[in-house]
This record gives sequence, C-alpha cells and structure tokens, in this order.
Amino acid sequence: MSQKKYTEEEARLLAHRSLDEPLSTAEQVLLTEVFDDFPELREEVERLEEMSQLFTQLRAEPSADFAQRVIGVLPAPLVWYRPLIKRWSAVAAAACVALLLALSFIYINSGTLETEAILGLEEIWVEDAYAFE
Amino acid sequence: MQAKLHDDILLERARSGDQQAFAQLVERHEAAVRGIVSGMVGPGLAEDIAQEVFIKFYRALDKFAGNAKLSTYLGRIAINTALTSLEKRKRRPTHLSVEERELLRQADHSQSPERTELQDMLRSALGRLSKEYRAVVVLRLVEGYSVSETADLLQIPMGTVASRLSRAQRELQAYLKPILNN
Repeated sequence: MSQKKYTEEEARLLAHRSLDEPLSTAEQVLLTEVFDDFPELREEVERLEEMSQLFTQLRAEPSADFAQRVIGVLPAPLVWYRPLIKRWSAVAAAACVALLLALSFIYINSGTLETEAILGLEEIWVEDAYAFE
Repeated sequence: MQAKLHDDILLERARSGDQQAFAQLVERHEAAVRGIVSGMVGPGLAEDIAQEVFIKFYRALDKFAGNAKLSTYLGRIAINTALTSLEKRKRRPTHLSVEERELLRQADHSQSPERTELQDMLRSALGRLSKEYRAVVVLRLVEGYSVSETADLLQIPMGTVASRLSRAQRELQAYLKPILNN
C-alpha cells in the first residue's frame, strides 16, 4: 500500500482552497491525487460550488440610505481634542519639556525649588504688607 | 468624475471629525456587513445589529491600526457582534416568524415570489446550523471570503474552517435536498 503524502485534513484544506484561488502546478497535481484517494472530497467540492451559487442569493443589496441612518445615530460628534488623544505621547512629552524648562528658569533665578520660589513669594515678608500703608 | 478616495484617506478624515468621510466608508462596506449579520441572526434584526457594528467601528476609529484590510476588520466586528447577539437570545429561534416574513415581503416588492421563497428556504437552513457552522457558511458561501480570510475573521485555523464547512454542507444537504441537483 502506498504511503500518502498528506493527511485527510490537509487534503480537505487543499480541496477547499481550490475553490478560492488558482493552485500552483504542483498543488494541482496533488489535488488530482487527492481526488483519486478521496473521491468523496471531489463530490464535496462540487456540492460546495453548487451551494455557493445558491447562497449568494442571500447577499445584501446596497442600501441607499443606510449610511445616513448610521450617521443619524452616531454618538456625540468627534470633538476638537480627538487629535490630541491620538497624539497623546507627543503632547505628554512636550508638557514634560515645558515643565522642566519652567523649573530650570525658577532655579536659575531663585537658586531653589521651594514652594515659595515656585509661587514667586520667596522675597515677600510680613513687613511688606505694612509698607503700603 | 471624482476619483474614488482610498479607505485610508477616508479613515484619516473620519478620525479628524469628518462625518461625511465616515458615511462614505459606511456606504462602501455596509452591504458586506449587513450580509454577514443577516446571515447570522436573520434579516429581522440585521439592520439594528449592522448599525451597532458601525457605531462600534466609529468608537474604535483610533484603534484601527490599518495593518488589516478594513473589510476584514469590519467583518470581524460584524461576526463578533452577531455572535454576541445570538448568545443574548439563545433560546429564541433565528428563523423568521410569519409576521416578520410578511413585513420583509412588503418592504421589497422588487423581488419575485420564487426568489423570496428560495431565500426563505436558505435562511431557514442556515438557522438550523449551530452558530459555529453558520459563521463559516455565511463567510465562505454567502460573502465569498477565502479559507484564509475566514480563518482570520473567526481566528481559527484554516483546517478548522475546512472541516466545519465540510460538516455544515452535509447538514445543509439534508435541509436543502429539494433544491440541490447533486
């Protein structure tokens, strides 16, 4: 008894693929062997071809107003911040750079990063409150 | 004549808020989506579920990376939404009631009674298959997806697509005996 080059599953897959696309010459030769070894697969492919022709009857016809009905039920319109969300990593990086620059500026001017320096209050004293009286 | 814009360009416009660009994408793909959904859940619910598919797509516009074809991506949303809907109404029959059938007949006067009868018979046969077999039949035989596309859409191996279709066609053969030649 000759040893088969394929399993039944591989044979079925090849037979089904023959419905989708032109097979290579080697695959066509193999398919002929498959059909000789499994005549029921040839019948299966023929039935599938017939059924395929029948079932295309169930394909939906394009609908003229479906798209507008979808637009009518869409959630809130796309908003201005959507592009920002899409580029969130770039926006986050830019925000970090801006924060570092601001802190560097404060440090260079005040020599410290204490809360008073950040808020610009480091040189204001209680006495200053009376200076304007 | 205005050149047909590529899906990618329409996607980019839709992402920046152009609803008409989104509408064009819907127009381009709605028939396939409605076909899949209708095959899975029956025409009675197809319209609502197909709308749900496009709303999901709209919400996920930024997540679509473009490494799959848009038709494949939409097909996957369609099949998953239809399967979820089937899960929700597990105990309800998927074929049409007499009233639903009559409503559909009235809605489409352009079809011959013979064609409508054939479609009813095909839908009824589909409705008797398990949802796993039905999904493969809808994608392969109704919508004409290849074995590899079907495997990709259902995220199962190609061999499983072939074996499910093989078993499904055996069941269908029994249901459709009166209209099959072989």
